[in-house]
Amino acid sequence: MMTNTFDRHTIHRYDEELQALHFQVMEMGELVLNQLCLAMESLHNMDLPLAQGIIDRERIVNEMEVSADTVVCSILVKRCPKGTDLRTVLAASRIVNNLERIGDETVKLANFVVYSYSNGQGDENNLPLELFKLGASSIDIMQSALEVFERLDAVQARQTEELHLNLGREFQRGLHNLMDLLQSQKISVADAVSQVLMMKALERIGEHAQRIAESVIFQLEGEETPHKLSEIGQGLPLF
Amino acid sequence: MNNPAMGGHKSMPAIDINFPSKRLFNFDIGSSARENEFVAIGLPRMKCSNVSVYYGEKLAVANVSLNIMPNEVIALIGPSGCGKSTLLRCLNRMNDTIPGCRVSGNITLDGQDIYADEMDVVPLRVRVGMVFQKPNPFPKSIYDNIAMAPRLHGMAASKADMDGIVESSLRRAGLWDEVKDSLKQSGTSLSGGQQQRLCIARTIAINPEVILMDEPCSALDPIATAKIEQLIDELRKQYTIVIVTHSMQQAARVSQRTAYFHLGKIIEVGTTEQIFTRPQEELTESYITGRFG
Repeated sequence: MMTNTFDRHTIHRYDEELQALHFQVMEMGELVLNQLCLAMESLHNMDLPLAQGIIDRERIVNEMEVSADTVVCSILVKRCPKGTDLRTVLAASRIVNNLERIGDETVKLANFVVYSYSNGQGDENNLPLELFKLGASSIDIMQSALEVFERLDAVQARQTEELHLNLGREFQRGLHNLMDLLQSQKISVADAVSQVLMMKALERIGEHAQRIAESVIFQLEGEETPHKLSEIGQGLPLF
Repeated sequence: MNNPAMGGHKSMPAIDINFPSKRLFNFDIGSSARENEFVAIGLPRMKCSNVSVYYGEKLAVANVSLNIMPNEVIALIGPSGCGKSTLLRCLNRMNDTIPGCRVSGNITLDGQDIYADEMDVVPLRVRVGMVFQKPNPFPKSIYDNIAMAPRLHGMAASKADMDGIVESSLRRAGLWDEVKDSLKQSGTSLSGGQQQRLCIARTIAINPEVILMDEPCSALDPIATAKIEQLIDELRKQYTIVIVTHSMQQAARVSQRTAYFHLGKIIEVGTTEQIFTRPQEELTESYITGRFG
């Protein structure tokens, strides 16, 4: 059963608190999505100042997580939420947690640019097309997850699963290509490792975005989505 | 009602520290065998079928059906005037004393119709005890508050037996250590929380099968409330408890199942976890989330 999440509490302040939490999570989501877009841009252009900016802003992402957690605690203490309200607060908490982790993965991408410059390879961009395709897919799924949360749309939340599966397939293709390049000695082991780590970071971003969409389903319907065994990396060691 | 066997307590230890089975008292009111059978096969301890209650022309409870399972705490929640206390009082026929009150439908205790003509309400109220909103100790000593009902029902063959019952009851109510040196003191001199635990001790002194609690903590502070809630959790091992409460936190803390009442009807019954996280009915959701009015 569904109830309008933010309306009609006898205590109107409660509506405002839930709405404020929603906006706070949205704001954090937009920042993290922006960080991800900029990280891909910094990789594409090997833009060191852009990458530095991403790393610097990670502090703001972490502060937003702490701030949202504080609001969640406050609502739990003051309102002892139940039913839809309880799920709204729990979902917000889960989403914030996933956003913070996406922020961490984004910083890993930016760190590659900084690392490349520190090794004197800053102006070379030898990154494969697969990595940028993977990046675009991560942005798509992240955007979709945020729209799902903004509109509280369970139908679109379920469609996000398909984007997630596509991302997994692209990740696998990217890994196989990398292995082919390694076997034919067209890429150094060091570069291959860096690219694997970045691809893995993008795959993790997709996974966290999928969890965000699932949190919205939980919020709206009370249904816990069982985590499926990932198809991603099947047949590959350590993934 | 079968009187308890007068010699039945001779084998009972004087001190009942380990929360023994009620059979230790050998207090046979004709229900033990059936009670075991019901526990064993998981049938409801009490069953309300199509129960309606009228106060004169006013319908207070409308066609309610509810199973109360053995050794569960079931919470009845809902706004004021929804009929939850009225239904509670039907479970041991407390409403019989209200002029103009009429009950239809069927309520059974271990399969026995409690509104049958041959049902004596005195043994019924032994089997289905009640704790009220406001602590109501008798203006007598703590000892006599506990001893009065067992004495009335001939449960103790000797002073030592009675001492054992008093101590056992106070221990089970978590009050013994606080009052053991002042048993002659008046029950009314205790604090509110202690008085309520004394009332619970008084209820369990005659070994009921079901305990009805009508907002037992509404007049108590959080510490006294916590002690009562801890006690409810302990008592569940031996008794079936039906609690009416306006505190949804309390219902969530102490009960395994919750029934939501609205305008005399049961809207939804489910596990407490389900009712407070994923209610199926919009009225339940509106009530538990505070979206009424």
